[in-house]
Formats: sequence, C-alpha cells, structure tokens
Amino acid sequence: MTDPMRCLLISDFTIAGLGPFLEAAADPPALACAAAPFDLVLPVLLDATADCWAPAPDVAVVWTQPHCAIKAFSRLVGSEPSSTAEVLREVDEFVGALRVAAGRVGTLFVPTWTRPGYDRGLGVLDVDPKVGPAYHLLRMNARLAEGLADAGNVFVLDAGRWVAQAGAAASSPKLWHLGKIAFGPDVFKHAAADIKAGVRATRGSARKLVVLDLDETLWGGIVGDVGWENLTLGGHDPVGEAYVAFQRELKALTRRGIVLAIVSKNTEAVAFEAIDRHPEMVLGRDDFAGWRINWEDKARNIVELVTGLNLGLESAVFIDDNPAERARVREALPQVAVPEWPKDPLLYTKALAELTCFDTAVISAEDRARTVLYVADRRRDDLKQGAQSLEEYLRSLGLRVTWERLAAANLPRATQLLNKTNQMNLTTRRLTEPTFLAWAETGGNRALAFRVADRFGDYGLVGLASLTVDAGMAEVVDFVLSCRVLGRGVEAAMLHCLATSARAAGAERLAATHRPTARNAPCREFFESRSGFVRAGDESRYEWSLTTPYPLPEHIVLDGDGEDRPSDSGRSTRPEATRA
Amino acid sequence: MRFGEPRGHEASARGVLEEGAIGDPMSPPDGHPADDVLSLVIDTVATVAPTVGRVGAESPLIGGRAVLDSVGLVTLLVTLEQRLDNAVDLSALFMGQADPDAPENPFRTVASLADHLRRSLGRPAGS
Repeated sequence: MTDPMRCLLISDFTIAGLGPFLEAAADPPALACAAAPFDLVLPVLLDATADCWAPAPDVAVVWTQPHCAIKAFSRLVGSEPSSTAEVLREVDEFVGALRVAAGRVGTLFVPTWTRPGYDRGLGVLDVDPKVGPAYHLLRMNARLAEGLADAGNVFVLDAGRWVAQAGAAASSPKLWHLGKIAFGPDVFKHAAADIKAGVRATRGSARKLVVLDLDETLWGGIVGDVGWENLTLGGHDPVGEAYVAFQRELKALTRRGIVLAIVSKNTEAVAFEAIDRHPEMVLGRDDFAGWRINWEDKARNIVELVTGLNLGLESAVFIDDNPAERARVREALPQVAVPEWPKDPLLYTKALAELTCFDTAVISAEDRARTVLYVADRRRDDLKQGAQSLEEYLRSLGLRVTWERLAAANLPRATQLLNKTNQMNLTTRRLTEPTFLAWAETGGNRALAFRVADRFGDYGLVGLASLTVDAGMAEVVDFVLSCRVLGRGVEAAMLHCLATSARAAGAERLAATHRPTARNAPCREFFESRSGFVRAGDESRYEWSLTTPYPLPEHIVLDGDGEDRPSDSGRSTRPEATRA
Repeated sequence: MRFGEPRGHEASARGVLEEGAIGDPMSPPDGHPADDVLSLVIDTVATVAPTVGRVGAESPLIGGRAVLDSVGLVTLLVTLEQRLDNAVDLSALFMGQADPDAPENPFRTVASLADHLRRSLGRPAGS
C-alpha cells in the first residue's frame, strides 16, 4: 500500500472539519491532511521556511473568506471608503502570494470566495457596480481565476456550488462564533469530492470511456420487443425528453475527450436499426468508439471492448439501468467504475452530471477529437482485414509524420503524452510543463513532438522524443508513442529524426537505455527486435552508429514544421529523407 | 498537527472500538432502544466526522476518548440544531456547561445527548 499523499490546508477559518472528508477512504487517492496555523494565510504562503511546508505537501488547499483575504472588500461591505480598483489590486497581490506558494507544492487548489446565503448584502443594490458586494465578489473571483489561469499547477474551484448544494446548512453564525468554522459539514463534503477529483485529474487518472447499456438506459423500452418505432425517446413526453437530454449530455462528454461505447444484451442488427433510424436519437453510430451487442456476459464483453480500444479497465465507467448487471460487473471487474443509477429516467442527466471521475487537468485538441480518432481506427481495421499483406496495408494508409520542436504551443499536449503514456515509453520520465520546457531549452538537449495523420484522419500529436548530446554521444532521454499508432513505422520515423538531429549536433553514436516499469515492456521489445539498434553491453542499452543514417520507412512521408529543424543549427532544412 | 498523525478523536475512536463499546447504529447496544432521536444523533456524528468509524449509544462525545474533537463537537451540536429546525438550543447549553465531566452533562455520550434532546422536544423515551 502506498503512503497517502500529504495535503496542507491553509485557511483563515477553522478548516479542520474538511480533513476527515478528504481522508475518508472511499474516494481515492488516500490523503493525509494537516492544517497550517490558523489565520496566518499570507505569512504561510510567502514564508517557505514555515514549519507546515516541511515535508513538502503533495497538495495544498488555500481557502479564505473574502472579507479576510481582501481588506478593501471588507471596507466595501462595511460601507467604508473603498473602490473596485483597490479591491482588484489586493486580489492581484493575493494571486502573487498564491503563485509563490505554488512553487512549493505539487498541486494547489483555491476555492472561490463566497458569502453566507443568509447575508442579503445591500439587497436591491447588492449587484450594483459601484457599491454592491455581490458585484465585487463576482469581479474578485473572475480576477482570481484569470490571474491563476496560466499557473500550471493551480486550480480555482467553484465553492459557490458547494454552498448551493448544502443549502441553508452551508453556514451558520453559531458555527462561526463558537468555533470560527465558516462552513457546515455538507459544504466540506462537496468540497472534498471536488478536491479529490482534482487530485485524480492532475495524476491523469480520469476515466475516459463510458460503456452504455441500450434498453432503458439510452432509450425507454426493449427494442427487441417493441421495435425501434415504439421506443420511448423524444416526442412530447417527459420520459422521452429525459432520454434525449441524457443522450445530449453523453454527446457533450465526447467533446471533452470521453469516449462512448455500447455493451448491450440485444441482437446487433436490431439495436443498430434503432440507432440508425430513430429520428430522435442524438447519438449516432459514429459517436461510439466500439460495441459488443450480443447475448454474452457483460463483464466479458467489457474486457474485450476495453482491450480492443487499447484502454485499461481503470479507464471505464459502466452505466446500466439493471442493478443485477451493475452488481455482476462490480464483482467481476472491480477496476471499472459502476455508479449507482436512478430508477427514474428523469434523473439520468443529474446522475451523470454528478460523476466526478471525468475531471481532467487539461482538455487538448487530441482529447476533443478522440471519438473521431477511434472511428477512424475502426475503418483502418476494416481496411486491414481486406489487405493482402502488412506492407500493402501500411502503403494504403498514406501515413504522414510531422515533427516539431517542443514549444509553448504544443507543450500541454506533449506533457500530457509524456505523463500518461505507459507502454511505448523508454524511461517513463514524468515532468511538469515548465520543467519539461526548461529542460528542452537547456544546451545539448532537444525535444521533438510528432503529429501523425493518414487518409482516414488526423491522430494529432501522438509521439515525443528527446535526446541530450555530449561529447560525440547522443542519448535518447524520452521515447514516447501513443499505442494508437504503434507498429505502423512511426517509431522508425521518430528515430530517423533523432538520428538526424544527433548527427547535426556532431554525435557519432545514438544510444537508448530502457528503464523497465510494470508496463513499458513493448518499448524494450521494439528496441530489442525491430529498431535496428544493437545491444551495447548492458542488456537494457541499445545503440545506433551515426556513420549510417537511420532509414525512414518507405511508406511514411515526413514533414518538418517549417522554419525549424531538429538540430541546433537554426537552419531551415528538413531532416534528411533517407529511405530504407 | 503533522502529516499522517492520527487526530485525537481518531485515536479515541479506535480505543473505543477495541473495547467493543461502539455498536451497530441500526440496532444500538448498551441497553438503549432504537429510536428516531438516537438515530438522528448517530447519523449526524457520521455526517460531521466521516472517518470516525461506527458510532453507538455509549460512544463518548467529550473527554479523552471522545469520538469527536472540539471542532467536531461544535459542528455536531449546530448541525443537530439545524436538523431539528432550531427547536432546541444546544449551543447555549454547551457554552453554559461549567463542568464537562459532571455526570449530568448531556454531552457525555451519544445516548445522553439523545436523552437531552428527547426531553427538550417533549418526546417520550424511545421515540
């Protein structure tokens, strides 16, 4: 069992009540909480030597009250002299202190400022731009979010939602006067759920796949019994509308990078007749990355489906109206998240919206296009089935690989790829965005990102390779490739670019040392058997002599990103397009 | 408080568990009949302190073996007031308790608090 992550709670109120909710074991990851000294927020944020920063926490939560953190706001609330400019200037100063503290912690969470629901403020003038506390609170929270938007490890969380969820029990003057406790336990419960979801998001452990049942889940009725024409879906009917609304929410998930799939006990042709022909279906065939529609055990179908999509079971969420099916999958596949599901279809959208397992720290263009990528994969598979040989298949794909230097524009996706890829990953180095970019810009180091496309579509940025050159030896530091394009020659194209770059930097040899993990054996297998590199002493070290250019596979067209090249010369030249 | 160290109330809760004093909240042991008020107090303790473990009628609320720390106890009392639509004033009683260890202190245990609430609400025992 791994040690719990250390979580530091910094607040100007008694925040000890949040700790037990964060430490509750039901919701991973495990956290061990400690509270910083009460009401010393700014000194704690600014003083790196304060006791509470040792040992360094993995996570910190800085939760303040607006009238305590921003004195100009306190004056405004009390109808004393103040101004919007003063309020915002103090917010900027607070943002500066948060940025300083963010350097000492893995991830920093900052709940937005709220006021008690019973506080009417200035009533009809509460949102007045000159004097209204509510207006200024909106501006303060917006300024806070904007000021921290580019801080890669700081996340502003919406405390207003926690307060709204808790209702009248959100806060009480009695709690404040008796214990300097700003919020009731219901607020802390909702806060802990969001903070833990945020921690999971930053660790890349968000769920990526929703496996859906069909009958009574995506539509009302049993399609095999009543026929697609008689399903409860859309129309002037509350339940039919609820199913359409649920499908709309699922469709919205796909735009965040969540992939949908079907596992249903049905006849496939009958199910697809409904999906293809029912006029009120929001989700079409191309919204699903895959499906297993048959009469087999659903747990077995889920395993096959997830494996076919190159995902892990820990990526999947299973939604089914049938409690027996949910229980079966829970028992057989504990890695799969199986939320309890309401009996009433009118509550399906609420149940989906309440799930915290889809939170991600960043949504990249590749995430948004993920379903499209899977659908294209399905068409590639169809092509592969009909091809006479692997070579013919690869030639017919029309693969194009484009390399580009690591830069601000591709840094978020490149870092996401570095930190989430497990299988084709030489060293499994995990870095933050600023650290990765700083490393790449250090003399002797180079990092290249690779985009891949073929005639079926664009895979996006799916490859990453870096090296460091020293005294004639070029060492591969990162070699990372998404499993979606493995085995199509992209690996060789990446090595071609690395070798070209290393040669341009004066290196005579290119070496790669595999650092084994529980999951990166495919990378070793590539270097051992298919890279053309030769074993160099240590059984996990491989080398290529740069007296010979590393060949580019014939079926791949290689492009650079224009004015740059993967060397340090700065000349606008494509890598030499040596052919195998 | 340091990382990873158990809170006082957690250590207390474990001690109570080891002695077998904490029972099943749905079927309270220790000779107390199941009733709505007792269930309310037990449920509210669990709401306030989700890591405290199972709580029974004789679980202590104050003293060295308390299942809650002082912040938790204050939160429990105010939350109970809210759940009872402020029909009782536990906060004032809490502030007026000169001797927390006195045998008549209503905050000694979950059961004594439930008894006090029952009397304040004018409900018969076991309601």
